[in-house]
Amino acid sequence: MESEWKAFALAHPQAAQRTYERLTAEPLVRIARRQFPLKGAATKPFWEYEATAAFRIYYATNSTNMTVIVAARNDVHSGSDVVALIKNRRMNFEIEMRSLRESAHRLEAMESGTISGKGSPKKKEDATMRRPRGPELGRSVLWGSASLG
Amino acid sequence: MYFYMYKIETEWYGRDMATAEKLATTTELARDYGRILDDAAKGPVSIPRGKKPDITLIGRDRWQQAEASQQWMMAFSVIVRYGVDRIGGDSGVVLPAEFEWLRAFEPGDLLEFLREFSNAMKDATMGVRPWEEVEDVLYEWHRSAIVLLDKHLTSRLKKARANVR
Repeated sequence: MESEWKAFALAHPQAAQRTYERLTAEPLVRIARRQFPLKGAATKPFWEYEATAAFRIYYATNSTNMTVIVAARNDVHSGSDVVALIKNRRMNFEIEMRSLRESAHRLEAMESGTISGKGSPKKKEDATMRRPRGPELGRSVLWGSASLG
Repeated sequence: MYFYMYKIETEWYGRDMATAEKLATTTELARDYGRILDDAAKGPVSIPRGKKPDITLIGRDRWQQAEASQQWMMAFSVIVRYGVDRIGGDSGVVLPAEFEWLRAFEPGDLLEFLREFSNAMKDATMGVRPWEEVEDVLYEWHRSAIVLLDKHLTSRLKKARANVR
């Protein structure tokens, strides 16, 4: 552990100074996303402290209120921010919905004769054709004699 | 009894959850847009447009609240579904990639996570706490999952546990 801390202090002396001051003065005071107790029974009672964007310090306090640093890790996983991933998922969902909506509108317009399909002759409406009932996630818009089941 | 019901209502749903919707015609909007915009800042004002879809004017803060709410409800529904199945004993539940890290936790931890996440969601939906706090809950649980998945680090934490409180 000492060698990890030394390596960290040599690489980031100012951050190491700030970390030392924080973890000795207020080791158990939470700062959202920077200093917090780890969740889950297997990691109790340890805390994580974000010393730099890449370095994480794992520590706890002992019975005499001394801060015990257990690990200083150059965290390779920090790039995958879960919040950004979730927000991207929403964005992707909306893009998918928009493209489905657009294709439904296009098919509707083709059917009503407002526009004709690029490179395809304008089709006369067939009795077996069903109008798309709007976008459905995970399915393409149903057309022709296909059944919705 | 009345007080108790009132307490439940305010605690669980907040006081100002229901906002009366006002209606305005397109003519009123053209003639008196200042007043209508002032009304819209206080609560939704809907403008019927005949065969075209109705338009509702709302304050930006309410729109942002609705957007954030929709955003997180999607995540919440996935997480609750997974949590319920896992706690019920089904470990083969399919998860979207951004939630794969949840598998690092035992059912007891998942229950604690669901409690914390749903409380943050409730408070943010009611406007008691900002949506960033929902993000904070997820972020911190995700960070903890990263630690749990690092066998070398967890073994060091386990060895050090005897010397800490």
